[in-house]
Amino acid sequence: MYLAYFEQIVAQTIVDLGGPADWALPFWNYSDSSNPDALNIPPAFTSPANQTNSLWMQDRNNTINERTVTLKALDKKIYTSASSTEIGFGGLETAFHHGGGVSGALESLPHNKVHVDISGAMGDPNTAGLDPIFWLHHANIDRLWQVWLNQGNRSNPTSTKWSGFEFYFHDKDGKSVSLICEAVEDTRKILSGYTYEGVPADIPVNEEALVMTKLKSFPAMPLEVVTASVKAHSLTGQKSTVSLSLSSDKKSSVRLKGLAATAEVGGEPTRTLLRFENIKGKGLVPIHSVYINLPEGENSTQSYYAGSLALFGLENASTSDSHNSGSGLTEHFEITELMDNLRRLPNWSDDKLDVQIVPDREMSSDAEVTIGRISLYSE
Amino acid sequence: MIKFSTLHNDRVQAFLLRQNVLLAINPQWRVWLFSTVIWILLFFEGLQAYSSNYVVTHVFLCSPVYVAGEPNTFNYSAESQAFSKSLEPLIQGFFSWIIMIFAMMFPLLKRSIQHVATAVRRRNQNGSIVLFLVAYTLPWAIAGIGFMLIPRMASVFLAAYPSNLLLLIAACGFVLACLFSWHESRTTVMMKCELTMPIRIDGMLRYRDTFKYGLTIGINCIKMCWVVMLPLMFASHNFLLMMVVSLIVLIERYYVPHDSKIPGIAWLSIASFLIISCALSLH
Repeated sequence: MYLAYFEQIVAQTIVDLGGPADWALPFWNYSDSSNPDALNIPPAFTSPANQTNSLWMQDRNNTINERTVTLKALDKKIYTSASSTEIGFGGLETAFHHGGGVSGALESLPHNKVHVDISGAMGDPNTAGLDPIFWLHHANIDRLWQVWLNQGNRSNPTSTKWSGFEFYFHDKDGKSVSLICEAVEDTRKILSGYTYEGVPADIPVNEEALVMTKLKSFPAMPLEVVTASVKAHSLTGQKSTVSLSLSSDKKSSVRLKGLAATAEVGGEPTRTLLRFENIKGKGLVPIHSVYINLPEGENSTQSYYAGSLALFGLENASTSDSHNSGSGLTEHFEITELMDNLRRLPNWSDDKLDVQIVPDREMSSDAEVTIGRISLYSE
Repeated sequence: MIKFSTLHNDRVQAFLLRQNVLLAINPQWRVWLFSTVIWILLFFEGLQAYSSNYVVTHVFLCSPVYVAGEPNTFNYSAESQAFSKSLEPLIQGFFSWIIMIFAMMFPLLKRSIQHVATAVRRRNQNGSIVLFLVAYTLPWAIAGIGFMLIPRMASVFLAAYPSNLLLLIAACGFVLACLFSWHESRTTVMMKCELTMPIRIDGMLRYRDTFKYGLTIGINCIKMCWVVMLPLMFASHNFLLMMVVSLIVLIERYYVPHDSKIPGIAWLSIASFLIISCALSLH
């Protein structure tokens, strides 16, 4: 919504300055695998790299990691998660807030990851909007929402709590205006209307398929915790390891051995989730890559990669205020396939799981992070 | 016949599976069922007291709600004031206070119960939820001593004044609740009701963390809800008023934005009703 009004305000300003009347807000498609420069911030924002360039910002990383822009979120079929161990495209039903709790799939990746990977003003929700690249990033997130819908068998929430939620803005004339979520489901109907290049907004809805999807998408049994860390873990800017014991509880240990057997006989691997809960801290924290059972001496191997921790909104979520409870952030990683592969490796142990956390970039000295609990959930 | 029974069994199994899933996603339903039973018992006890028209000294559920021989629930006769000075109702009142917490506060704990249930192994869920609720109730129980003593002390000090003064104090309490509801600090206090904390899953650490979480949520809840519980005590926690207050608190918690003005308007309405009721009873 704010993208539409931002575009309206900037477009009007451009016209007032004698510029073209058909200016539109561009989007940064960082996931475009056909573009070798997709991971670089567009050149207009980086060159010249000084104050003469109003699109340039200091302390910004101009190239982002490929891992931070994967589009796994598009695989989700449901919008709203039914439980905190299900990750829907849009996430759990919550009040509007800027941090804390569990993020939805799209919000987590690529939204949060891109924010943190670029860093600088973009790394903090309180200042992110000051960086001009913010608008291209969010235009892309908005575009991905349409891309998700266009895949079929997907729909936005029908709950009036979502569709009727109202947001307030100012238009190009400075007047206070508002929009409800329902009003922006079709981008062609927002203000003067817009569509994204290459992303049609008029895919006909297959009502029957939608009904069947809803019938089949009855919530699954929530996952159960199998093991968890016994104390909080602090990130120091160096590689760190947390061992999760698999043998402390005999029933869990038996279950995990049974899961391996299921995978070996060619059955469906049991869904497994790695969870980082009550992550609190302050400062700008770089993205941390998470690995499982990474061999000694290795710092980065895709075979052991579980996901990336991008702690966007960390300080807000750690502070008790009118928008946050102070519980910190929670991150999930789907590691079903990874666990299935790890079991076949020679260094697999039925007694413990080593979770390695490696910073992608240097962490500033004033940044602090504590992870309340690291846990493994499974069916 | 065999095909029919197979089809029937499949449908029953599918139904039962769905119920299991729903119960697993909503562990708070079991607690809400408990609160609902409490409400039903309170309702029937209140009904019995009204039809019997006597001072209710029921040990198990309600503290004195109705006054001997008086249909108006808000009159404080000399008998009831004398009765209120003795120790026996204090003990009964404390028990009633706890029952009131079960009925009024447990329905507000959806987020916290879900957090506890998700944090521990499924076979430990029920025990952990119970432990959480016990720890949650503990600060309320301690606070309840003050919540009971304050109106009793007030009724003793104000014995020389018209008995409906306590009702006026209750009305002032609801005005205060309205002002708090509209104050900017309220949303910060309310957000603390959503707090989660890490809970270990094995051994004594699980008990420790669950208990600590329950205590923390209980204390946060008192910070949010004391402002309506205290005037309720001054109004002798009248059953109907208790129901209305519970409904407003539920709506405030789950159905309106945290900065909504609606709860404040509701508290003002209650205050107005009490003032009018007081004025009418004086005539």
